[in-house]
Amino acid sequence: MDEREQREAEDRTSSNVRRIVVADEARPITREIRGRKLESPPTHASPAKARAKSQGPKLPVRRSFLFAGVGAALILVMLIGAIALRRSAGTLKTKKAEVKPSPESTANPTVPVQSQESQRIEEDAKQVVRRMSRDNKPYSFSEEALKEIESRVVDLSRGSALSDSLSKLHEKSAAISTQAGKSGLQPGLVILVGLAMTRGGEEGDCVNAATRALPILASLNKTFGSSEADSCLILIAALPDGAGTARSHPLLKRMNQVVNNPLTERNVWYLHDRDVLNAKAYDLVVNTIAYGVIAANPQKFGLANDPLSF
Amino acid sequence: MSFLTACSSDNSSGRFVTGNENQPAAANSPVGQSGQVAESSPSPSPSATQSATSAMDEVMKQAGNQPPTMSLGATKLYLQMPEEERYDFIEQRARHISTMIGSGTYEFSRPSINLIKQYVDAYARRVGNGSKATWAEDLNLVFARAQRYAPMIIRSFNRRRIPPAIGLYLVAIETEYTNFEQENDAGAAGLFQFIPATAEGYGVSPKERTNVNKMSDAAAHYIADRISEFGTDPMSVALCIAGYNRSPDSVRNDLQSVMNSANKERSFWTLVTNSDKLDHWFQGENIKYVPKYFAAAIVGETPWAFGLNMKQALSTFTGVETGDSRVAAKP
Repeated sequence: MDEREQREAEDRTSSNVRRIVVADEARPITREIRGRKLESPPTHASPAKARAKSQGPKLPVRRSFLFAGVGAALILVMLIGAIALRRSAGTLKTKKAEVKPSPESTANPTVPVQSQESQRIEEDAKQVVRRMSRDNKPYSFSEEALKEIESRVVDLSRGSALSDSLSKLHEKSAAISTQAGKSGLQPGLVILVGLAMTRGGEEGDCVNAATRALPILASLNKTFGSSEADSCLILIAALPDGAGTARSHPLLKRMNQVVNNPLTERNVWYLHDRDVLNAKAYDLVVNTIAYGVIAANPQKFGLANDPLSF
Repeated sequence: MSFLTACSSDNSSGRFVTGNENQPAAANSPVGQSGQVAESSPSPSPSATQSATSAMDEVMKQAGNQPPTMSLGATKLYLQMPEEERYDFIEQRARHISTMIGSGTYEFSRPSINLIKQYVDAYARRVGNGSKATWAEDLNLVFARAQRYAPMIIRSFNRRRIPPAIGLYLVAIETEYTNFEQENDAGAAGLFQFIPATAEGYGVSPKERTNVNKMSDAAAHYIADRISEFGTDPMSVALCIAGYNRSPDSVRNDLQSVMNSANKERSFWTLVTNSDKLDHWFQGENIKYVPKYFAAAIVGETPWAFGLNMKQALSTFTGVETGDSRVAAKP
């Protein structure tokens, strides 16, 4: 009753609670418990009933139990014997296998390590996209996109200037974050775009690149938005085309030509498949995500830097 | 003066079709504006005071849209609610509408709820007023027409996988479900008020703008294009709705003009807050469009709270599931 009252009180305070199915699910469970209690016999019989049961004529019953018990024991002995024989044969086989390991058996242990790494990169990549966009909804990559991100992570983490660039960004991230915040952008977006635009510092100063990109990103944010993960990635893809005009952007027209269902097709992956994004734009998007994955855990990629916080 | 008098006073400029730099491009905005002047809204008739019945509640539960009375604690009509309860009601329902039109939920600020409330109040006063005057008509008549057209609009928008609520209430505020055969001063005609150039751009001959099936398809396509441009979250969709009235190019221009370190949110409400920096078209007309859209949607999706004769939310008139909507499916 207390639970029900509490549930009703919660229903009154919040309309959303009413729709939660948990409360409805709880009821059948209690009914089931009640049913069991009513239908099943009491767990502890009363002493009087126990005595009455022991006093009745029970000899024929006991004999049948005796025969059944002996039979069961025989069968058990036979079964145990058979199992023991099989086990001894199995251990011989495994011993032989241990002596001469096959090439497949040596390769097997590395497979789960690789998939774990992929999973970690996938999780980190999702986290990067969410942090660049303030989007709390779960994000998922296609298998192809994920492969692309993974290969870029491996390639880009070997960049000769990356460690220095991450150190520079560490020093300057507070200033960039302040500027990004004033423009309504997530700091991570600006910082990672700076890294991607300079290929980790190999093609210029990443801090300068981030600072230069900021006003263009701010303008693109007004056109495309960046609060949703897909909008944020489109915004990055629009960067190579510049800020566009106040009224339009070249990417808008190209998007309109191919997107029929904006709910499923308004994303960089679909736009890339339909050749709306050129290689430069697509590379910028994938590299930005890849640098985000690396910057989140540089030491896992052999870099001495601390994780970049933004 | 009713809200309708205020918001429909000047619509004859044809600003959506001219080449004026401050005006939306014709190819981008589908609509022209009506120039009718409204009458003030009389007080509600006895029919408007009928409380929502449990049968209505049951219908709405089946439709997956719970009557607000359950959470607001009483089965009273909107006009019977005290002011603060009205705010709560509008806030809750506006949030619900935001989930209907976009991918997510938008938390409305008090000033934006204030704006929407003006129009909800005005709509509520029109229920059962017995008037047949355009833009001041008894809302029961408006929604009786809406029930006839809703299945076609819903079908077209669903086919494009665009939330039908967008189309249903754009029509509610564009024409109040009157399929205008005659063009207005801006050249717009039909239920969706497309101008000839936009209709042609979406594959409909200007002469066929009163063909509701064809125009529903065209409108769904048009909105899909705008959502592709602006985004799928509720406030981006609200910008699409604003663009239907003002042209998407102009809305983008407005965002560029007013968004800064003090106004970081990319939403229609940021434009409203900074309307003094925008042109007089925005200040005079466009500023009302999105609040009015939300107000119409609140009324249409919770008709029982306004004492409307319509027994279920307009978005449930699909023409298939319920008896009522089968009747409504007649073109």
